[in-house]
Amino acid sequence: MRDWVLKRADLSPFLEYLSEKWKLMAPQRRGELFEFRELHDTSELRLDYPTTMIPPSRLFLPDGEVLYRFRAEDPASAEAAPQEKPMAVVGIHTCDLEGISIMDEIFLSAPADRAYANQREGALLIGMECSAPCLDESLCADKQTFHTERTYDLLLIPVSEDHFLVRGRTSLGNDVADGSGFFRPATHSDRAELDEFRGSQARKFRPKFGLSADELSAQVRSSWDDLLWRAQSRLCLSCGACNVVCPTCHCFVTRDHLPLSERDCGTRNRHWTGCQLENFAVVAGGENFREEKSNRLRHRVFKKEVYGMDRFGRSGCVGCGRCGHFCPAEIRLVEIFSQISGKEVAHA
Amino acid sequence: MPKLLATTPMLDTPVTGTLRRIRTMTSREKLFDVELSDGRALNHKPGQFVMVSVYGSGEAPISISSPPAPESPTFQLCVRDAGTLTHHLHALDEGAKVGIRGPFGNGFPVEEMEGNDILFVAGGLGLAPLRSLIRHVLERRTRFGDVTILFGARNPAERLFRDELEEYASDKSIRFLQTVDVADESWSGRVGVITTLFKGLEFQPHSTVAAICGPPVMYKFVVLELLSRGFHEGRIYMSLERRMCCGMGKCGQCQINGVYVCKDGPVFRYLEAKRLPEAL
Repeated sequence: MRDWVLKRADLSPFLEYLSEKWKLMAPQRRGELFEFRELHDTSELRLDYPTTMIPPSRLFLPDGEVLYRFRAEDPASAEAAPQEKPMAVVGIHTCDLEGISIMDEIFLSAPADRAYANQREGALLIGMECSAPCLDESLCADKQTFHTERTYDLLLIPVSEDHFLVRGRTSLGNDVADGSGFFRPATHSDRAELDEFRGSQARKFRPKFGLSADELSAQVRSSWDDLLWRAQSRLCLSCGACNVVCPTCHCFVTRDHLPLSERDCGTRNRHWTGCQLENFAVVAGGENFREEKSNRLRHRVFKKEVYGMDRFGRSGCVGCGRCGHFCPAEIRLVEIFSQISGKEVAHA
Repeated sequence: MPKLLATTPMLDTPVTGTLRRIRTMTSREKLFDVELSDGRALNHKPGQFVMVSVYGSGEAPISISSPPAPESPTFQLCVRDAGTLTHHLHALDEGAKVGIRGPFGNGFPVEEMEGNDILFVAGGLGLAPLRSLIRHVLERRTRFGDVTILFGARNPAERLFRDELEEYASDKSIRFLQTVDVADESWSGRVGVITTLFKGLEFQPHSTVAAICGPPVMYKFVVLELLSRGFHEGRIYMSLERRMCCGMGKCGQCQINGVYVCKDGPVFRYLEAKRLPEAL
C-alpha cells in the first residue's frame, strides 16, 4: 500500500497517458443519467456523478458478449472471441468495487469463467471514495462499503478541491502511478488532510439500521415465512430492473446467434437475465419453482443476505441503493430491512 | 499427448461429439449414442450430466443414461423432444455433430452405496438418469444386496428402455415392478401411480439406499412412503432438475436456496433437500 497525490489538473493528462495502453472506461452523462462508457474526450468525464444506472461490474459481463464462434458443420469448432485492449475503469465508487469483488468470487473461482477472466485480468481499476451518500436508497453506511480495501489498483480520495490523495493497493497501481510522472508520494500533511476527510465522511455516512452484517443476515434468514414478502412484492412488475442494476447480480443465459451474412457460422452469446423475471425458475415440463412474485423477491434478498453470507462470508448486497432507486414499483431494500428488523427508518 | 487430452476436463468450451447411433424409444424420446472426438473419454459417474450444444439452438443440460465406461469415448443420452434444443436434436441424423461439455454435477456416491440393498424408484423420464446407476449396479451385482426397481409411466407406450424392462422382469436376481397411470388394450400389468407398487413390499430400511428420480410431484409421495417405512432421510437420494446455462455455478438459474444444482447436485439426499424449501 502506497499513498500518492495527484493534482486534479493532472487528471486529464494522466487519463490520456493511460489511454495509450488501456481502453478508458469512465462515468459520463447519458441524458438524465450517468453511465460507464469509453472515454474519448476527457472533458466528458464526470467524476461528480452520483451513481450510474448500470454498475461498472457489468463491464466485465457485457450483455450479448460473444463467448465463442462456431461453424455449422461442427458446433464444437469453437474459437474464443478476439481480445481487445484491456480496460482501465476510472472513478468506480467503493460500493461498486465491492460489487466487482463479489463478481470476481463468482466468476474467477474454479472452474473460472474464461470470458470474464479475459475481460477482468489485465484491467486497471481506479476507484474513488465518496464524500457523501448519493441516493436516499443507499445503504453504504450500514454495509460499510463507503470504504474498501478490495479490488482497486488505485483509489482516488477527494481530500481537497486541488488534488486527490491516491492510494495504490497493487503493484500494477503503484507502477502506473510512479511511471506516469503525474503523481508525487504523499507526505505527513497530505495524510492529515485524509484524516480530516475521513472525519467529514463519518459525519455524513450515518447507518440507517445500526445492524452488523451478521445480525442483518440472521434476521433475514428467519423471515422466510413472513407476510412481508407478499406485501412488498404486490406492486412488483417482474421487470428485472433490480437485477440488471445490481452490482452483484450475475445470472445469465446463453443463446446462439446465426448472422444472415455468414451462412455457415454463428456465435454463442451471453445475455443478462434475472431472478425476478416470471419464467426464471421454470423447468422442462413447465413447473415453476418460484411462481409467485413474493417467492422471487424473497429469493433476491435471500441471495444477497443469506446465501451470499454463506458463500462469501459477507453480504452480496453492497448497499449501492440502485435496486430501490430504479424500481418502477419503488420496492426498496431499506423498507424490507426495516420491516424485518423492526427498526423504523426516517425517510429522507 | 492423447492421455493428457483424455483427462482434460471439457468444462469451458464444447468438444465435438458425433451421434453414432440414434434409436427411437417412444413417440417423444430418442436414445443417442454419442462418441467424443480425438479419443477423449467422458469418465463420468452415474447421475452426472453433460451440456449438449446443437448448432444454432444453444445448449442444454442432459443427464447421462449410460453407466460409467472408463476411457470409453462413447456414452448415451436419452432425450425427450420437449423444447427448442431437444427438438432440433431429435431432427439430427446419425453422423451429425453436437458439442459436449462436462461431465458436471456430483453424481451418486456409488462406493458408499456398495454393500447395501438398493431401491430404485423411477417415474417416466426419471429412468433416463437413473439407468446410469441401475446399469452400474447390475454390472457389479455381487457388491450389492437386494436390488428393487420400481418404475411408473403415464401409459404403456411411454415406457423407456422397454427391452431392458423385460430383462429386469425376468432377472431372478432383482425385484422389478412396474405400473402405468393409464392402461390400454396392450397392458395386462398394474395400473396406478408409482406409490401403489410399494404395497406388499418389504424393505430393510437400515441397510437399504433409495435412489429416486421422476417428475417433481413424485418426490413428495415417494419420500413420504419411504419415511413411513422407517428409511433414514440420509438414505434417500434424489436427482433434481433445473434449467442451466453453465454447469459451473455461475449462471445462477439452477439455484435452489443457497445451493447450485449443477455443482452441489443434481443428486441430493433428502436430508439436505428437505432443508431447501424451494427444492421439491
